[in-house]
Amino acid sequence: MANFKETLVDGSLEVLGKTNLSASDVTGWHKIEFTGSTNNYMHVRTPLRAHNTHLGWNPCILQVTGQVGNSGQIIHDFKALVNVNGYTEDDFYGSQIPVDVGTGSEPFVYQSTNAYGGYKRVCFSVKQNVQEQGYLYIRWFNQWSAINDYPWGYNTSNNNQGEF
Amino acid sequence: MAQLKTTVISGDIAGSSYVIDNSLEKSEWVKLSHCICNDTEISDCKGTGLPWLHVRTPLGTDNADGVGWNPYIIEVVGYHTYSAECFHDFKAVVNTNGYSQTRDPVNGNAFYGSQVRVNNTGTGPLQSASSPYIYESNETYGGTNRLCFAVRKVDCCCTGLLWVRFWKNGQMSRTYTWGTFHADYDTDGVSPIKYW
Repeated sequence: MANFKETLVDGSLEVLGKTNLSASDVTGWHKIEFTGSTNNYMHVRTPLRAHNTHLGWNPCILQVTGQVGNSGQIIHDFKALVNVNGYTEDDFYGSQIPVDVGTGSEPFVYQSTNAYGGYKRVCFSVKQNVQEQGYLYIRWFNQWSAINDYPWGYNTSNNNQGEF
Repeated sequence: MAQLKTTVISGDIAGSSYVIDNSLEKSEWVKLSHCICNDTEISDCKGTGLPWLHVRTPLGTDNADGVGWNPYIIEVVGYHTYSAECFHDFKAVVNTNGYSQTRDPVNGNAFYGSQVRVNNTGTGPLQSASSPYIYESNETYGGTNRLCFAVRKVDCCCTGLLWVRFWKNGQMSRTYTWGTFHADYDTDGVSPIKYW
């Protein structure tokens, strides 16, 4: 792995992987591309732990942008505050979505029922019952390094929670 | 300082500081935390209840700073306390009247301030408060007036974070120190405010 001090790139810089900057403490965007199905909701399991080790009295802002459908039938554009009661290691404060400016999105944020890699994870669902192409871009503010904590997962179902 | 020509990185890139894209003039996010908790000042920790957080940014607001007739966007995302009681997600256009070289001491109108055109808060079931107000510091810091803003906070000592970035003039985001303070006022609409 190359390790640079302060560096000037005199031209373009192309990164084929991800860009993560600890000073800003904002993750790079994670992209999920999919084809919608007849199921009502797309579920995403993020690497972020719904647990004190990532979130105890230390909320993150989860941001999701995306769409499904060739005519913009469903557009996602929301920010949620996710948090864990610091007194109880995985007492998760879930679907706190102060900003939802999408169309037909119906976002819902929840904690996985099962543990993945030893921890319950922050998950969310959005509406997706359009059988056309779609994508999601996801990032969060605070705890940037959590993006490498565990693999992402996604699935569809007719319920808006409890998928993972 | 290392200097590279056009470069492709085949894996991830991680930085402990910032990556500035000079071709965009857009700053990286600058993260700020707040909660003043000491024994000597008025403090939310003592239940005194000061519901406004003020931030002084490094961006100069005088023509000499290169901002006359050169509007740019300030974007702020953040929260205060654990249930998004206050949540911030706004963009404002700030500008300085290019005809006036410095702040107008009589009318205070050389700076075009709180032009908040996008404010994605205050809607939905949470009704999260933000009420952003953008202003110019009355006094100079490092020889020039600085761009400041105020947002709502809750009068408790609870975790709060803000992320701030600029679209254009981003290179100025590291030219002077940032400042934060809490107060019991944002502005009366006429005579701002904390950063005198």
